[in-house]
Amino acid sequence: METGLVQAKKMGLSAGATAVIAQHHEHADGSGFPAGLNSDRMTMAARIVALVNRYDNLCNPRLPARALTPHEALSLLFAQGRSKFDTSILGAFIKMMGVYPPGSTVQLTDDRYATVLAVNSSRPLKPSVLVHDPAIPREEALVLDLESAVGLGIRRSIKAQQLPPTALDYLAPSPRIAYFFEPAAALEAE
Amino acid sequence: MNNPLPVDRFSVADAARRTWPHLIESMLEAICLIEPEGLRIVAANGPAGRLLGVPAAELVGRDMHELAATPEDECFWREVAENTSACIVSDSFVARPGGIPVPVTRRVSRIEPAPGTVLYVLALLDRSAEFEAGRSADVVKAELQATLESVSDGVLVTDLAGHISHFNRRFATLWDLADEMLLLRADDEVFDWMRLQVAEPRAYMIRLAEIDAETMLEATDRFLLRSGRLIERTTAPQCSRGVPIGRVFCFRERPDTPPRT
Repeated sequence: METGLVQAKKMGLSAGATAVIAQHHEHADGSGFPAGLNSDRMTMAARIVALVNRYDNLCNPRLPARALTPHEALSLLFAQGRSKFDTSILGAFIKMMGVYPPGSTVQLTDDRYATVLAVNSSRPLKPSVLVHDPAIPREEALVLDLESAVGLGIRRSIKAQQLPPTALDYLAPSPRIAYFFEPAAALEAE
Repeated sequence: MNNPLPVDRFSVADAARRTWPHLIESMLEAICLIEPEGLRIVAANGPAGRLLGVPAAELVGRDMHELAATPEDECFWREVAENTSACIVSDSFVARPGGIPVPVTRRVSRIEPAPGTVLYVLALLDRSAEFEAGRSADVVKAELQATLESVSDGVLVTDLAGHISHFNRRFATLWDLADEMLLLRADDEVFDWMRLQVAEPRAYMIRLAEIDAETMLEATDRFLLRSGRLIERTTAPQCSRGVPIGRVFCFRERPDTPPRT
């Protein structure tokens, strides 16, 4: 934190940006650090960055294997963070992201795998999804509006790498090196 | 004789309060019964109290909007209030006092115990152990993958039928495998390419056949590539709990490689 502030000073950052660096580990209920500031004493920008920083850390932790899906991260933020984050900012963030953010890989209640394509703002639990069906060519993949699919819903979100290989190729087609121990999404520059 | 017993909604609600607590108490799952008008809990069993971290009796009267711990749950109960949803089954979280999240599988069903009477049944299964085990397994797997990708040898693993299971990036670099070969699972192309790279393909293939014929054979061989590089290949059976399940080959460029011309 102190290093960040020293850097901010060296770079001649504005007071607003410097406050974000100083306060982005504070919590709305005063349980954060370094100063234990509560929401009233944090700047609006710092309150936003504190929330987004926490979300990003849940989705992209230092150990990638511990990453949560965006859906799980939002659920966890909501479950444990209602006191830690500015409620109006948290509400706006969740409204913007949707319950199942587009791009999320999900398993439907009938066990099929799917990718969320678009949020339905009036029915957040019923987004449009692209469904994995081995019997249908990928180019003609079924796009399902869950709002009109009676009795069908989303059972869970899963990480793309947890998908069976055929479902992964279908739902997230990108050049993938099949042989490496550590899967690579694309050929990397060595 | 065939007429159903006259059951009015008040007697059902009363029954819910008096009888059903005994019924749901016998269940292993955490169960709460919720009345439809105010979406408040009318009965909760012991497992529900333990899961949510409060005595079951204190759950009675709690509002589901307030108890919802995730955006998904909050959204669902809002839809129930608006009569646009009635049931859901998915993985979610509940929050214990202090915002301690507990992963659960949650199902809400709408039942009609008597004509004109509706109750919602909330069933929760604690998913903590499975959630943590899954995350730990992911970490162990990622560490093993990272280790195999970080060793300085080119590592190739084949199964008992001789098909390629995996190889690491160093193997691909050492053998100059083309990008197209990496993107397709075409074992024969990889093996053909390797054969074409060695200076003496016939001797190389004879030795491979010998290795292939002896499941438990351990061997170290050296051979020259056509590029002039000297490669040392060490191979050993890949064993799981003492049982062979494949073969591991480690390739290393020897420092005493003859200078390239």
